[in-house]
Amino acid sequence: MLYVVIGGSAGSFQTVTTILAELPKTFPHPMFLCLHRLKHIRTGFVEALRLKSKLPVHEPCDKEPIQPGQVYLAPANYHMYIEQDNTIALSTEEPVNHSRPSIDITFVSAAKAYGEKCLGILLSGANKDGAAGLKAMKDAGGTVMVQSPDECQVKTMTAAAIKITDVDYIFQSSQITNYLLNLK
Amino acid sequence: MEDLTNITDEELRRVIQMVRTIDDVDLGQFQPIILRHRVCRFAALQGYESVSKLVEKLITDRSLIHIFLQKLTVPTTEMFRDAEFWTELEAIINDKLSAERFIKIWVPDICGDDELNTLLVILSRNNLMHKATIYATSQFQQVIDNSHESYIDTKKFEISEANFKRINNDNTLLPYLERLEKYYKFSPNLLEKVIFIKHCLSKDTPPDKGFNLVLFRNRSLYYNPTTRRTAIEKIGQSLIPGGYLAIGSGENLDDTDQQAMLVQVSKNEKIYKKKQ
Repeated sequence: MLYVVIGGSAGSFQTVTTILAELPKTFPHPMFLCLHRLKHIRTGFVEALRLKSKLPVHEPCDKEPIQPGQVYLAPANYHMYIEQDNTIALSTEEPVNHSRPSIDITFVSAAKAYGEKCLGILLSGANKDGAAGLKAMKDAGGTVMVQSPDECQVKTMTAAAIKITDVDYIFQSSQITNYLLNLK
Repeated sequence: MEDLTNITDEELRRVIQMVRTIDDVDLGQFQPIILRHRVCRFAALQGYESVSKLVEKLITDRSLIHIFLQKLTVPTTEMFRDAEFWTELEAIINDKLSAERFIKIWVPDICGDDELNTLLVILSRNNLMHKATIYATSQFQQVIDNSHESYIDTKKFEISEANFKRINNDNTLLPYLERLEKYYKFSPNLLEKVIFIKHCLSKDTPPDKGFNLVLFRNRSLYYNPTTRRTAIEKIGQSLIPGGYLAIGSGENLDDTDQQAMLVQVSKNEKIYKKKQ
């Protein structure tokens, strides 16, 4: 089992919906989505992601056990940690990189919990959130990839990650989808 | 971003043991990954090159322990966080609780004052302060010591004001605040009606019984599963039949005995009513 952790900000929503639309409902790996979003809009986002996804997508509650084949979307205005006992921990701690949810929080905690079983994917975005987290995943033995900056609507996030981490793959979104489809 | 691998399990155990010995606070009751992050964050903010160095310093400097404990607690984020929630709670307070002769309210685990201050604004603007008895508790003496005065920086004021306006565009928090040079000070007249008590949810019995409302939003997040269940159990038992419990949108009552005793009364918000 792998644990797929995806982070993104401005310009990532379309990529995520495209990926979710392509994955079959038998996709066995848990997936975590940490996407920057408006903090005071609590509804609508998860519903929009569900429209084309064959996988169940939901915003987890605190201390929820992680299940195969589920997609967990970080709720608005909460950080989403992965706890070492394979549960989710939510938090209202201070924003990290001006963000709550922070991609770094989710990525770093996933690196700590899952190590080499992590697959980290960083998409388009307008700040550096996620870059340090992706490095933590790589350092923990996980596989890390970024969306090709050329394809990103905003390339700040992926460029920051590439600058500090020897990423395993720089992929177009179609290649990211194919990679996920070929996971055992 | 602090690297959570910067603290080993052994170092975390040492921190927990040391604080338990020196200050009688059990950090083991907290959610492990968040405690780990808070300790690493504190070490980084204080300029320690490693958590080991922090531990060495904590052993010899008790004044640092007090700062450390204060920084470990997680403040609630802003006043009127989740405006829709406050709209619903205000309706319940007006429709149900205002008919009571007295209203007894408990805000456990205060940290930062945003939830408490928001509640006070709601009670005040509905002319209910005179019949309300409000307990606010924390297990940290430092929090209690600092709670009689509440300051809000400009940025938080702007966020809170925007939240308040989402309830009604004509709303403003200014009548409840005093403008200082760099801060706003929350109304001392409202805060002086609050009974602040040092209280540990995992160890102590509730500060009173027969509560009409317990406001416990986004506080169980920081407890480990066992302590969370204990806390919810005690809070549930402290409510009168027909009393209300509010928790955060990211929380639930799963795996607690109180799940059978409390009925969700709001479609979209986590507001529960204790069965008669």
